[in-house]
Amino acid sequence: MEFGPIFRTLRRNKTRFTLITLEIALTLAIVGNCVNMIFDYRNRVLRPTGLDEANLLSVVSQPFSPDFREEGYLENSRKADLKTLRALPGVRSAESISATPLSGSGSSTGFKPLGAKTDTLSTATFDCGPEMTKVLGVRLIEGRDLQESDVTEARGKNVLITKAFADALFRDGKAVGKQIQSREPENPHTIVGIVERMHGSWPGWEHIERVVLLPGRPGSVNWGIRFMVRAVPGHTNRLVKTIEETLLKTNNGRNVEVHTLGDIKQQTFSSQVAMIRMLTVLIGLLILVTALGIVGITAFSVTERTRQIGTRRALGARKQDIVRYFLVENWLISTIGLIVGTGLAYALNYGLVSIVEGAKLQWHLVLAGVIILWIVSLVAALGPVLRTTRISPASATRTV
Amino acid sequence: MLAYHIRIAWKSLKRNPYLSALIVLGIAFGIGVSTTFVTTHHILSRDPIPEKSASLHYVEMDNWDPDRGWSDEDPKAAPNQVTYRDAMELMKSTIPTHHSAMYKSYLYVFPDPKAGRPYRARVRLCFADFFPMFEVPFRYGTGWDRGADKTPEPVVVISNETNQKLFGGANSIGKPVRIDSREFKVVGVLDPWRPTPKFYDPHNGAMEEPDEVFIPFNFVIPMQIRTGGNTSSWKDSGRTPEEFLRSEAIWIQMWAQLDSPRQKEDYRQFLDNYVRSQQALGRMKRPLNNKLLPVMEWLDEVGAVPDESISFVIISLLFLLVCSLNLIGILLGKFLARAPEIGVRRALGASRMAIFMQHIIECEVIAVMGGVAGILLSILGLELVTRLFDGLFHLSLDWSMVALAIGMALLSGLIAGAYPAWRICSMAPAMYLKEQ
Repeated sequence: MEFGPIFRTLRRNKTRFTLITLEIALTLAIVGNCVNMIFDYRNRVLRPTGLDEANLLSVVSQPFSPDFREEGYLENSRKADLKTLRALPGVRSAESISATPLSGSGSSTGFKPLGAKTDTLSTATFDCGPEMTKVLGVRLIEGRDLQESDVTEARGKNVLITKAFADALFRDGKAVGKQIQSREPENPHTIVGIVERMHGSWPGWEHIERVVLLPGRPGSVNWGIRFMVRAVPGHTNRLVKTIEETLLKTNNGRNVEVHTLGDIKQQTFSSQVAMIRMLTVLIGLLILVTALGIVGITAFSVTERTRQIGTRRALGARKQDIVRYFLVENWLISTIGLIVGTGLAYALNYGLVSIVEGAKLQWHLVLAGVIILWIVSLVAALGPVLRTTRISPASATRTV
Repeated sequence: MLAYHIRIAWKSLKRNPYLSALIVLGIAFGIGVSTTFVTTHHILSRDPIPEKSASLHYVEMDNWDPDRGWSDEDPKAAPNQVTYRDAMELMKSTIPTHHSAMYKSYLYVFPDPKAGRPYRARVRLCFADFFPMFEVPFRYGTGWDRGADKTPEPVVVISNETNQKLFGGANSIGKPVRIDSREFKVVGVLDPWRPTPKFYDPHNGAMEEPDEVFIPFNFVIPMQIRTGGNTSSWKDSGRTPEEFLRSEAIWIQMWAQLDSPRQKEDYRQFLDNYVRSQQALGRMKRPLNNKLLPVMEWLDEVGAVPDESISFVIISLLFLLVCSLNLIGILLGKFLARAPEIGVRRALGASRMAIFMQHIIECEVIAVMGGVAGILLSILGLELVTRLFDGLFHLSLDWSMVALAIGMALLSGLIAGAYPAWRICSMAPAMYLKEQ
């Protein structure tokens, strides 16, 4: 290999090679951090929620008829809707709930072990009918499920909590049978079961995995009655229209809104998805610009050395020797650039994380960036470098 | 001389059109991307009501748990809304030029049955001062007068979109609208109005959709209208509507327009006295922590500008730097390739300065072309960002951003061009003459 001559060339053309090294380095720093951000957003979107996302629908019955203000009318309507929903073909189960998980709106409360002197810990709370775990598809790992008898006039006494919240409340992890209170010790709740995993209402919240399910009969004239419906796989999208029409047929004094949980989640995460797309476009443009730069500089250095190439050819170098010489030179420059760039990538990440919230740079993403840029740099150089094969040995004797 | 340099630059660009296009495109990408994200940040962080933002104040007072402050992270923070009972007391003050307690709810609006089904509208309950205080623009009619606040009278101000929906955009002043269980009379129709960020109530997102209907605040009791925004409480907030209104739950935004320092001082005094009187009654046991936050300080507290916006600005400026580096490399090649020609010019008497200027100006011509192309690209870019965010906010260039883009282009042309131009003007002419 002709490392000797290459190094000497590099030394004589310091500026040009420093420029291209810096350009590749900066590109890697930016691409590495953008890819890191993309993965950070993706992880948030794709994090398992514990819910049977693909088959769930949210149904809201929003009353406007004054009838709903009459004693018992709202509750009767809730029961009637539940019955209708459960009887629909394609519906596996249905239950009422006070807010839709992952939707960005809901309620939160603070709880602590009964009698504890500590501060309360915040958690999302859902009032819901006793069938809720079966509808959501969340898994019970300890204790028992809610049952009809848990639904009482006062706010549910027996409750389910997620494992994440149980671990936060009780160091020893034994939560079943224990009592919890909010700020005041009156009306404590008893934990009867633990849910393995369930995400609450606010996907951006650090404690998204803390959830308490309180048995009840949720619904109000002001905010309507909400249901979660679990469809037989494959029927989810079809049910959107069917449910709206069927429920309106039974009672037209209200509006009915039906959305798949997938759509709701997409809505909640729309900024993250938009950010991912923006970053992808940015990365594409940046790589394009850098590739153009490499094409330009390589083309220039080939033209500049036409005579030298001619001389080498005249002295017996084959076309492939010349091509190899330029490719090795290119490879060497990009490698130096990528080494510097790795350092820069970490520096930029440090800067970004200290100014704004963000994820630490992951080394394997930097490595992926290195490999991609290696290939890009090689491909970009290939065009101008292959032009050297058209330089004839005779050109050594001509004046340029 | 300048015209001459520009003519030479133009000739030089035309001599190699593909390369020139590539160079211009390279800088255009850099300017386009950075202008897109700088503009986005500029729009997200701009003052939504510049002529009044210093005199409009968001009011906070500390009614929170004596044992545990509003924020675990920041002990100096005060609760970010106020209770109903406190808001009603503050509304008795005569100190502010304008003031209004307000909150958001969702209520059914009943269009003419032929026009469509009843639908839930975003309703703001506020006082008469809301409209003059925030300089809300009217298409027809005006806001209601302070007299209508007391009773309250069934009057309503509707947004331009609501007027389209209910009345096909016609002048609807005096027409009745049924909202929830009551009939209201339209007194005002707004022009399209969407302050971004939604500074007066950013609790459900600084980019939340605009309010559709405005009715007098005091319907809160006769119509039992609960808030559709955030409610926070550290104590049981009761079961009945009456108990809720008397509770420590915070859910109301309180704004006061205080034009002079004197007025502000008086209002602060009034607030302090009020809180002390409440403390004497056994409420508000935390230390005095009243806040009067001007608009920009308030937006800063709620964090109306997403962090990501700054990340994108940093990244896009680095992008521009890469484009500049790119330009240096290409210009260096382009200039050095014409060394023999420059050698002749030097030998015929052109000064170094003249050669340097000629090349710098050539770079600036490229930069301006790149800048203009970049501005066009950024219009596309902003459209793309707006679409990606589903119209959550509307982005467009303004003159300051166009000027910034041209400035950035000129600067990067100068940075990119200085070294190549210096190289070419500082070479000895003799060597190139010999080679000829």
